[in-house]
Amino acid sequence: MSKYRVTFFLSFLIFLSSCAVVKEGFKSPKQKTSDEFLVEKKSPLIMPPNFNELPLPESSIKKNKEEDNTIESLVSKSENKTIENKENKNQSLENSILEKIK
Amino acid sequence: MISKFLNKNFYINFSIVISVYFFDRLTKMFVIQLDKNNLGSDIFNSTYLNIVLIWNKGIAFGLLSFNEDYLYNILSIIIAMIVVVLVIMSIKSQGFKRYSLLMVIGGALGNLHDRIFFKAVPDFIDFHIGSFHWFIFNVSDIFITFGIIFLIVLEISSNKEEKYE
Repeated sequence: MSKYRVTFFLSFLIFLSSCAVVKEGFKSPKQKTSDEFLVEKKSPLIMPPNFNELPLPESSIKKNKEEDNTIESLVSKSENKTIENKENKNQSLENSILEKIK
Repeated sequence: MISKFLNKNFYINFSIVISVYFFDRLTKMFVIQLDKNNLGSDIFNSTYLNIVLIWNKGIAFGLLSFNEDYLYNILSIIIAMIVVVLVIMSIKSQGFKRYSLLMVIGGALGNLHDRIFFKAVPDFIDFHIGSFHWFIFNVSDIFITFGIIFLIVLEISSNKEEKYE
């Protein structure tokens, strides 16, 4: 009977006390982490295939249109000016020839 | 019934358990604070005694230290049940046997407190002779160990007395 009681008390001692082994206490926590070499490498970053087909925001479209208009207007004005200049030059030549003939 | 239970002996027994429990808590809090101040390095070093804080998730000798929460909780429930058994035993027993059981209960409650709130028990007393280290333990372990030793000695002595009679 006493043997059973002694083992009973010893089991209490094992469960209730919390003494730790020195080696386990000083183990580095890194040992419990997963193996870094088993982690798969991530594929490199790639642009999506339809990236250029994405719709532009409305504000940027408006700006582009405005810019186009200004360029067109500039070009058209310059063309008109050159035509006017050419006409003026032609007239001046005629006049000069006519004057010489006279 | 309650007034019969709450007699002078009850208050003495209760004060023994509470004093062991609070003495253990004070030492643990003091060492945890010192460890924080020392940034985890050794708190005290000498030729025979070191004070180093180590957290033990398992039971004695670092056994049954689980990473899984449910196993740890099962272990904590078993320990709580053992404490209840010890309380019942202390109510039924008398004399020096009761006091040694109360010592064990006080220490066990101290360790159970840490298991519930910190999910591990802080151990910090490291006796060593040269490079040979004994197990690292805390104040509640001292009370539990001495209480159990007293209980075993009482059990063996009472058994011998029965044989002689």
